[in-house]
Amino acid sequence: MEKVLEQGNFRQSMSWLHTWGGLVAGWVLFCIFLTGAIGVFDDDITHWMNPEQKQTAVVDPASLTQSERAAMVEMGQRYLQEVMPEGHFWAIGLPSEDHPVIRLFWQDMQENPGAQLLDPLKGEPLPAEQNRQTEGGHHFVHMHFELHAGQAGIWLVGFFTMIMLVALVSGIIIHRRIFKDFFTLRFSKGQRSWLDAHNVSSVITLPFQLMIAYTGLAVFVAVYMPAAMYVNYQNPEDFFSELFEEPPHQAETGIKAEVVSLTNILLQGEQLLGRPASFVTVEHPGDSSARARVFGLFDPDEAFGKLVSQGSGRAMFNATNGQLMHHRMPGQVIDNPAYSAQQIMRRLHFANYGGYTVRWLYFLLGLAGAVMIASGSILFMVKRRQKSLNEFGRQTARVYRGIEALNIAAITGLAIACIGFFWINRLLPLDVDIRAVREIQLFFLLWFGTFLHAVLRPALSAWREQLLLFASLCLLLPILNWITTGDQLISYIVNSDWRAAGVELAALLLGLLALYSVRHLRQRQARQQADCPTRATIQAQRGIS
Amino acid sequence: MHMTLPYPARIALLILAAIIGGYVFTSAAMIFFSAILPMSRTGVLVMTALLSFVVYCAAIIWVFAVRDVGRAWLGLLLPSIPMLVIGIWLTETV
Amino acid sequence: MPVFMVMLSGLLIHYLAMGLLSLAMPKHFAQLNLDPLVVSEQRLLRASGWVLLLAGFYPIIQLWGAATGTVFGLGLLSLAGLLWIVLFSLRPLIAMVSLAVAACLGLALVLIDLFAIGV
Repeated sequence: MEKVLEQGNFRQSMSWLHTWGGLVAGWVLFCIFLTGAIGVFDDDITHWMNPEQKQTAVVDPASLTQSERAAMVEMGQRYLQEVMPEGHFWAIGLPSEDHPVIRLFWQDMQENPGAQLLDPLKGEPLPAEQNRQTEGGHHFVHMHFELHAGQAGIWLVGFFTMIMLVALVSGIIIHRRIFKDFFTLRFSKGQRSWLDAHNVSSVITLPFQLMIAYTGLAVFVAVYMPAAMYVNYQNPEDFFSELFEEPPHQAETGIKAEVVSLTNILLQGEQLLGRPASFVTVEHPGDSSARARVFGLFDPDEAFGKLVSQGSGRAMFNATNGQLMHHRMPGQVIDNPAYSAQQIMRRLHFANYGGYTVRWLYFLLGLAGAVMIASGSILFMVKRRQKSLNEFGRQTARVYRGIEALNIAAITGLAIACIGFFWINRLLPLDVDIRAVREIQLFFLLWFGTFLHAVLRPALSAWREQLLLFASLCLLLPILNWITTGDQLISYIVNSDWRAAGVELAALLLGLLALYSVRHLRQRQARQQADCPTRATIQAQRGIS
Repeated sequence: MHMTLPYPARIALLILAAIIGGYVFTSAAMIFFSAILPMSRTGVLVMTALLSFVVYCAAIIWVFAVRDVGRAWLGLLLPSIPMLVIGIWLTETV
Repeated sequence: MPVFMVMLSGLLIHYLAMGLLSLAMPKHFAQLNLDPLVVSEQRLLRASGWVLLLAGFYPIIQLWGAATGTVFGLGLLSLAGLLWIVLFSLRPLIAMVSLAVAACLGLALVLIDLFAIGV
C-alpha cells in the first residue's frame, strides 16, 4: 500500500483516509443510499406490489365502527391463541388504508417471527390469490437499515455510516477549492469530470448528507452507543421504562396465565385515548407477566410538518386481569429535552412528516448521495486506469480488477437487482410456499448474477451491458405489469391511482436516464478509440486483465 | 515501536486504534460525562449518546492526523482509564 | 396555496439565486461565450443572487415554521443548485432560458401567494 500515510502532511493523510475509507465503505454505502431513497416510497411500492389486496378489499378501514374493530381483535386473538398460546409477543393490526385486512405478527419463545393476514370479516387466513405475499416496499427499507441481516446488519450499517461521517469530514478538509469550484462541472473530460461530479454532488448536498448520516446513527443510538446505559441500568428495558415514564419492565415469571379477552382491553383503551386504535399487542402471552398495549391511530394531518412528534397515545394493561397500568394521551409529550432531540432527528431521517413533496425531495437528495458515493468509487478506478499507482506491488493489477468488478456489481448490479425485484414480484407465481422470502432470495440471486457478469466481462463492456439491462427492465416494467395483471399506466392515471402510476413513471424516467448514459458511454468510447488508442484505453477496455 | 513493525502491520494497528480505541475512548467519555453532568439520569444518557458520534468521529480523524501507532493507542487509552474509573465509581456511589 | 406550489416557488427562487451566483463568477460567465462582465455588473449579480437565496426561504418558513422550514429550505436549495449546475454545464443557452422561465413562474407563484393570503 501507499506509504504516503506516514510521510505526508495532515491534508495528505486525510486524503489517504478519504480515499481508502471511502472505497471500502462505498460499496455498502451506495446500497444504503439507493435502497434508502427508494424506501422513501415504501408504502406506494407495497401498493403497486400487491394489486390483489385493493381489488378484494371487503371493508373500508376509514368507516369501521368500534364494535367492528372489537370483533376483528377477537378473531385475531382466537387465531393467535391457536397458533401460539405461549410465546414472546403477539400483535394484532387493525385494517388500515394501506392494508385493509387484519394483520397478525408474533414471536415464539426464541423470538422467531411469524405473520399471517386474516380476512377482516370472516377471520380466516387470506387465500393466496387475494393477497400477493410480498415484503413490498419494506424490502428496500430493510435493505437500507439492516441489509436483511438482523442485529448484525444494523451494526454493519452503523459501522459504515460512521465511516461515511469520517469521509465527509475528511473530504471537506482535503477539498481546497470548495467555493471556487462550487459550480464547476465539466462533462466529457474523463477523470476531471468524475472529480467534478463527485465534488458537486457532495458539496451542494452536504447539509443533507451530513444530516442523513447523523440522524441515521441517532435512530439506533441505544444500539450503537449503549456503554453509559449499561453502567446505569441492569438492562435496556429498565432504562426505556424510566425514559418513557412507564411501570418497570417485568421479566417472564414462568407461571402460566391465560390472556383475558382483548376485546375489553381494546374498548377500554379506545375510550381512554379518545380515538380508534391501530394496534393491540401482548408481551409474554401465556405467562403471568403478560402485558397488553393499545396504540392510538396515527393521524398524518396532526403530525404534518411538525418535527416534534405529537404521539398518537398508548395504554398499557395487565393482560391477565385486564387492569389498566399506565397510559399516555395523544399529543402528550415526554418532558425530556434530550429525548425530544433524538425524536426530532428520527423524524428528520424518516421523511414522513410533510407529504409527497417532502418525500420527493428526500428521494432526489438521497439519489444525489448515491451519485456522490458512486462517482467517488468510479473516480478511484478511473484515476488508476490511466496510470497504475502500484499500491499492492505485483498484485496491483489483480486487486484493481477485483475493485472494478465490485464497483460494477455494487452500482449498476444493485440497480438491476432493485428494479428486478419489481419483475420478481410480478413473475413469481402466487401460490409459491413462503413467497415473500423467495422474492428476497431471488433479489440476492440476481444481484450475485450481476457480480459474476462483472467478473467475467471486460470492465467497460460490463458497465455498458448492465446499464442497458437496467434501462430495459425499467422501460419494460409497465408492459410486464400490463401482461401479468392487466393493470397499466394509462388506467392507473385515468383512475387517478397516482401511487401506482408514480412507481411506473419513475421507472420510465430512470430507464431513459440510463439509456442516455449508455449512449454517452458509447460515444465517448468511440471518440477515445479514434483519437488515441493508447495502451491505457486498450487495457481499460479489456478490463486490465 | 513503529520502527520494528512492517508497514502493513502498522497500518492495521492504526486502523484498529481508530475503530476500537476510538470506540473505547468514546464510551469512556460518555460514561464520565453522564456521571458528572447535573441533569436527569435518562436525559443525560440520551444526550451524551447523541453527541458521542461527534466524539467518535473526531477521535478517528485524530488517529489519522497523528499517524503513529504508539501515540494513537496511548493517546486514546490513557485518558479513557481515569474517565472509566471515575465515571463508574460516581455512578455506583451516587 | 397548496404545499406543492409553495415548495415549487421556493425551488424556483433558489434556482434563480444559484444561477445568478454562478454567473457572477467570471469563470462561469465565460461558458456563455459573451464579453466578460465588468466588476459592478458582477457585484449586482452576486448581490441579487444572495437576496434571492434568502428570499427563497421566506415562503417555505411561512408555511412550515422556522425549524422545519429551514430544513426544507436547505434541501430545496441543494436540489436547485444541482439542477442548475447540471443543466448549465450541459446546455448553457437552454439553462439561460430556464432561468428566465423560473423567474416568471416564481414571480407568478409569489403573486398568487400574496393575493391568496391577502397581504
